Order: sequence, then structure tokens, then C-alpha cells
Amino acid sequence: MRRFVVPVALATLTALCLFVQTLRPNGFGYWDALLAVLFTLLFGWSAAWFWLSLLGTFESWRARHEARPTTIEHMPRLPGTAILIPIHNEDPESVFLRLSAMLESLARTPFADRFEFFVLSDTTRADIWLREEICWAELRRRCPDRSVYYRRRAHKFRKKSGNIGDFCERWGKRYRYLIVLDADSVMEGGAMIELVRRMERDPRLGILQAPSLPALRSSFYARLQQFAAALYGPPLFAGLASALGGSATFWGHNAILRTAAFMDHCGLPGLPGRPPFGGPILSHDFVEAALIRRAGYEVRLAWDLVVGSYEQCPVSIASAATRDRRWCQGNLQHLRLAFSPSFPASSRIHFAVGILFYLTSALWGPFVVFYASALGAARAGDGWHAAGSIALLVLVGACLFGPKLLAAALALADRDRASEHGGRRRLCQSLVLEIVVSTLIGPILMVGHLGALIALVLGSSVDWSSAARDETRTPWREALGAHGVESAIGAAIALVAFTIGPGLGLWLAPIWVGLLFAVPLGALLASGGVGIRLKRAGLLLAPSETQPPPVLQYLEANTQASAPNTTFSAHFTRVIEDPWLNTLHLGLLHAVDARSRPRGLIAPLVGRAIAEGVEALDESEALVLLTDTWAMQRLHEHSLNSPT
Amino acid sequence: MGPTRAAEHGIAVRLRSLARRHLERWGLVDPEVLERAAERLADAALAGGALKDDDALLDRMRALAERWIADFAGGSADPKRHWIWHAGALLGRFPRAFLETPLPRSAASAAVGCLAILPERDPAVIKQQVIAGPLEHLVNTLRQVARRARPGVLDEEPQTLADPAG
Repeated sequence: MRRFVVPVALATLTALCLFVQTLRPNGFGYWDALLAVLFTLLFGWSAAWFWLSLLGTFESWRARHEARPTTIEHMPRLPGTAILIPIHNEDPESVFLRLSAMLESLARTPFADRFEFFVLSDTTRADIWLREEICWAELRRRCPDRSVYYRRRAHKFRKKSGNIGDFCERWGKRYRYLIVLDADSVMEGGAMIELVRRMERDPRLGILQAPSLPALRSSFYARLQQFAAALYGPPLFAGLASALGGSATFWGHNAILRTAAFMDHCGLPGLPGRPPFGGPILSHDFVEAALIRRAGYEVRLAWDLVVGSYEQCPVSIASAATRDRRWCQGNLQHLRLAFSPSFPASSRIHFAVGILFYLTSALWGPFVVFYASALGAARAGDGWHAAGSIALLVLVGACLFGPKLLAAALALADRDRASEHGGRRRLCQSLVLEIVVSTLIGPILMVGHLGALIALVLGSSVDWSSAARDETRTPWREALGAHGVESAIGAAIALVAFTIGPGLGLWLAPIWVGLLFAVPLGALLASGGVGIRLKRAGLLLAPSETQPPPVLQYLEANTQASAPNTTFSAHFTRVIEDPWLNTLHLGLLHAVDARSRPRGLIAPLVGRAIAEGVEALDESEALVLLTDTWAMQRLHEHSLNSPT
Repeated sequence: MGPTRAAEHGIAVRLRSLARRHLERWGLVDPEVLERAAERLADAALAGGALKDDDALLDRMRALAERWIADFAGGSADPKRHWIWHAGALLGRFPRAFLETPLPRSAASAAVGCLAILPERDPAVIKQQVIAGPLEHLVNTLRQVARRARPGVLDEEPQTLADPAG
């Protein structure tokens, strides 16, 4: 940790001295002091990421020629591991397609029988619930010997952490390890086996987090993220792993947990008070990592398992902003935990880092605006320190763009890695494109974070329902709705700045240009067509596209086939009429101890469903019938009166 | 035929028709086997004694059918290799073998849909943790000091950051 903190502190101190020099000509007042505090925060944050990248670049370079992990064939027998996929109103066809891909991948190893999949549903929508059941039943019918289980909780409690907790309380003792995935995660069988192997080797390990790279999206925005994560991610993960050692954190998915330690030490309490700052802990993963660290276990980042662990990223700026609002609330809720002496210092630093991510992201825009104004005043006075200003600009530029350039240099030095991004020339072109576009969209995300912070401070809570994971277009009208405010803010900043002076207007261009063009940028970046055209042109290529591992190849080959093409009433009718599906549905209800309602209450609704058809029912009525064993039995038996 | 016998005959015919449709939907498509299996199933359901209503009779018929199919398809209740995953395919491919499988004597013990399709539970408890905030930590430390100095005072629960309601 020291080799990380000392250089970051030194760099920040140097930059602060230069910063103060640029302000001094007109005297150093309270306003300047406030700007200096903000600068320290923002520069320290950037310097930390720069230093992590530098550490990671060295680590990656050193590890290039090291021996790879033991080949799977030579591994001893593995203990039983449950792979948990908690879902909540997700697209079931996609979830089970990813699950099939992982099954196929594991089937190519000698350890397929050591892994059991559990799809843990907290779905509240009747149509999605039925599709989940049908997808699961059909997968099991296709692969009757594979251990894939599905259960839908009767009582939703504490969202994802409660869902996993419910699993642990029912079946946790049966498995030594749990691999937790997100609904949009997918992992290679080999990567999952390697996670188990490392846990077996080190009994002090409580959680081992695999980095996950975004993949399988085709919009311009998503491909930008996929390229950036594949290029900049590995050295950054290596730097994080090197700096944090056994006090890394848990990101909630694509990680393996030691079940007994997790159950003994990670039961989450609620926080006093109401949301947004009180209530159930939303970003539970950081807290679980802190709790398991408190119990003496290590949490590590398996940075070298970057190939074989994937997730899907948002497809547009608007969907990224929605996700960020949820994460922002979850991280700000940690504010009270960051000061809790119950946790080790390293865990409290993680809480602080999570909070700082949103604070710095929200504050850099206002800082640049006010600093530019202060600098304008300083330049107007005597003693303008031009050399200091240029040195500061270079230092800030190095911290902001250094990690990207270092990661690109690392890839360019390795012919194989460069070819994964389309070759050296295409890699350089993609790098320039990524830097330009990410610079333009930075202010848009900043406004989103600032808005989220203000809303939270005013007491507004965010809906933590499932993320929009579909590949959707953002047409111009929707882009106008999503980014109209940002464009107005950009226009206002440009207007005020140019009114004060053209110099200030140009200084602030990195902020107002992106904001002013937020609407067309939003529409362009959400476009799947543009993303695909860029791919054809060999730009923004990621290894997941150029050399996809088998698990991604399987998904690409089968994605179209998984699209649903039937209506809710068709699914409902099928579960009523087909004795196989009806029996399975009843079996699943029995498994979660669902109880029938009093006959007097449920019989009229059953009668209506028979008389008017299931199409006549609304969502809540359908849910009532679907959760009642007596009703589902009656509906099936009544359906026998009508020919198939 | 008296009115009671006629009513019983009517019920038997109707039940046979429902049994036929039920088995057909399970995947038994051979018409001859289907007819004979439906007749046996309906008779077995009716032979089980008087029931309070039609629903109970249908439930019994369905439970019998489920057990019969389970016995035919291997009867494994292991959730990993449960009979339900291949029952439909086997009924379609080996209808005669199904007919040769003895019909269960009773379905009294089996409610419809009571399938072990999830692993057997191994109940355990996740221990809820206590997270003390800075102030609570200070208060708790002072309490401990006070308790050591004068045992018996300040015996209430320690302060925590956690919401007792969860």
C-alpha cells in the first residue's frame, strides 16, 4: 500500500504547489483555498488511477512470460460449487442462453459434475416469470443430466443480497464455494475451475473476484466501452491487485465466495433511517467484502483471469446514467460505514473510494468553470506564472491520459495483443477515436452524476429494478428527452463564457462542446448500425470480437434463436394446458412453500379465467392465480374439457 | 339401467375422456395404448372410493397418472435425474412399455406436483452482523469501561449502526 500512497501523495503535493502559484498573483483568498481543496481531491483521484496503471503496466509486463496456471487435466478433484444467477425481471431467454453457454463450456472439462447452477428468481412480472419457468424446463429437458435448478422466491426480501441469503439458508451448507454471477454475466468453464482451484489452494481467501470485461454488445457506445475495458482494463486490474493485495473488494458478481465464511460473517444488517441513506444496504458487495475482511479472511482480485469472465455493459449514455444513479445511491449510503471503526482501514478506504468516484466525477465540471474564471482574473493581473501553468497542464494531462497511453503502449509492444484489436494501425486509430469520444461524453456523465448527487441530498431514492440490458436504439426524440437538459446547460456555459471573453470560452470548450452536442451524441452512440459499421471498418475492436472464446462464440451463434415470439396469454395457456409444465409449476410452488388462498377468495377468479380466458386478467390477477396451487390445478383440469 | 347407475356410467365416461386427454398431453400418442391406459386410469380413480366432489376425483386421477408415469419413466426422485425430464419422450417412444407398467394402487400419499425438483434443503442460518458507527463505538467503549468499573450498571444492549428491524 505504501508504494502506492507515497508517490500519489508526492505527485498531488507537487501539483498543488503549481496550482497555488497560478492563483497567487491576485492574492490567495478563501475562494482560492476552496478551489485548492477541490483541486487536491480531483488531482489526487487522477494521480491514484495513473499510479495504479503504472504499477499494473509493470506487473503485466513482468507476468507476460510467467508460467500459466496448471492445466485442467492435472487438477485434483474439485469440491462442490454452486453457481448462483440471481435475476429480477430480466430477459429469460438471454439469461438461459448464457447459462447454456456456460454448461457447454464446463462440459468440455472433466469437472462439469462439480458445478450446479441455481437460477434464483425475484421476478415480479407474471409474463417474465412464466418465460423463466418455460426456459428452465426446456433447458432441463434438453440436458436432463445437468444440474440446473430454478426457484422463484415467494417473499422478496432485501433484493439481491436477500435472494442469495435465502439460497444460503436453504442449500448453502451443501457447497463449499459459491460463484456469484449477474444476470448478464458469463464465464468460461476454465475460469470457474481456476477460481475454485485458487480458493482450494489458499484457505485464508474469503472472496476471489475475477475481473469482468464487457462484451457482446454492438451499439457505438457499448463497443467504445468494450474496446476501452479490453485495452485499459488489464493493466488497471493488475495495478489494483498489486496495490491492494489481500484487501481488495467484491464487485457483486463474477466472483467466488467461501460459503461457510460468507454465511458466518456476511449477514447484512439494515441501516437505521429511511432511504436514500438508510434502509436495506443497496451496494451490498462492498459491505460483504468489508465484513469478511473483518473476520480475518482475504479478498483478492484475480487480475490475470481477465479472459474468460464477461458481462454486458449499457448500450447508451442514457442507460449508463440510469445505472450510475443506482450505484451512486448505493455508494453514498456507505458514507456512514466509511467512518465505522467496525471495519479495517482498507475496507473503509474502499467505501471512501466508492463515494469519491461519484463526488469527483460530479465536481470536476464546476471546478473547471470556477478555476477558469479565477485564472482569467489572475492572468489579467501582474505576475502571471505561465511556466507554472504549463507545467500544471502537462501534469494533469499526464494523469488523465497517461493510463490510456500506457495501456496502449503495452498492447502495441505485443504483436498478438495488437492483432486482437485489429493490428497496430487500427489500434492507434481506435485509441484516438476512444479518447475523443470519451472526452466529449465525460461532461454528459458528469452532469448525470451531479444530478444524482443533488437528488439524493434532497432525499430522492432511486428505483433499483433491473437494468435495461436490451440492445435498444435511442432515436432522436428519445435522445432529446434524455439529453435535452445537458444540451441546454452546455449552451448556457458557452454563452456566458464567450460573453465574458473568447479566451474563457475556449478554455471551457472541453466542457461545453460535449454538453452542447449531447443530443446528437446520445443518438449516435446508442446506434447499433454505427457500432456495426465501425466494427466492419476494423475500429474499436476488442479481443472478445476478434478472437472470441468458445463461450462467446456459442452466444453469438445462438442469440437470434433465443428471441421470444409468443405472448403472455400463450405462455399462460401453455402452463395451464401442458401437464408437464403445469406439474413443474406446481412442483416449484410446493418447493417454496407457496400456500393456497381460501377457496372463497380464489374460486371467483378461477371462474373468471375459465369464462373469459386468461387474456382478460390483469397482471396482479394473473400473479394471484400463478402463485396458487389449487387454482393452477383447477385450471389445468378444466382445460382437459376442451380439445388440445 | 337405474338413474344412479346411469349417473355413475356418465362420470366414468367423462373421466375416461379427461384421462385420455391428460395422457395425450403428456406425450402418449399411440391411439390404442392411449385408449386402454385412459380406461385403466379412470377405473382406478373411481375405484378409490367416494369423494366429496368432482375436483377431488380429478385430483386423484391426476395424482395416479403422475405416479404411473413416474414409475414408468424410472421413478428417480433425485432432482439431478428426475423422471419428469424424460417422461414425455419415453411415453412417445415406448407406449407399450408404459401400458405394461403396473398402475399404482393408490395415489393417496402424493399430492399433484409434489416433485423433488430442487435439492434437499440443508437449513442453516446466516448470522446477522453488527456494525457500530463511530459514535456508537465510543458509547459502547464507555459502557464497557463503566461495566468493568461497576458491574451491574448499564446492562442494556450495545449500540449499533444496524437497524434492528433489518
